[in-house]
Amino acid sequence: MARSLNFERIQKRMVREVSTQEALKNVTPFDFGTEKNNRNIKIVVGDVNGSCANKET
Amino acid sequence: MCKQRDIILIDSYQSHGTALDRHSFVVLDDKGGEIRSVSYDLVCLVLSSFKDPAQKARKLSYPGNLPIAATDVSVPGGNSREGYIKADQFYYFQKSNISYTVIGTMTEEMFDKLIDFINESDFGIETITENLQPAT
Repeated sequence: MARSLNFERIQKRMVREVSTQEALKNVTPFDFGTEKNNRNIKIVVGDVNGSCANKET
Repeated sequence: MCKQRDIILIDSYQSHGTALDRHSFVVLDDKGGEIRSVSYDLVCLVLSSFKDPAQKARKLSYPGNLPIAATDVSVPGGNSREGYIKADQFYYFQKSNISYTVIGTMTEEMFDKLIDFINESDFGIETITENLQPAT
């Protein structure tokens, strides 16, 4: 049987709300390759916020 | 329509009026619920790649980052490399308010490992709810 999240416990561990922009600082998009699938999606690898980002987690 | 364990590419969302780059996420939950009295039907975690060995070591020193190998995901046409899941930041969405594409799935084994990792760890969890639209 598939495992499930313990949302009750997770609720107690929620520390703060952050913006999407802040959350994605220093997060390199996952590299699945250059071009993929039939919709011609191209994933560009690189920092979302470049060198101006100052918080890394 | 996406479901739990899918890997999706969200390509249209904003933060404080700024359009953000396309990012891939794993769908953690698609049952839906309410957070801070606003409904959601999608909870995701972001997937990220390592840039170099030093960055990899740094990233994995954070308790909320879970490493994944290329074999932990199945993305047709993809050439995945190792990376990590940021398990300490929960992104809440309403599917109808974002533009996304399902590009693959995470293996059951890895997804179970992720659930166990979240359930059994003690790291604090940050929430991202700014993409939710209150009901009018």
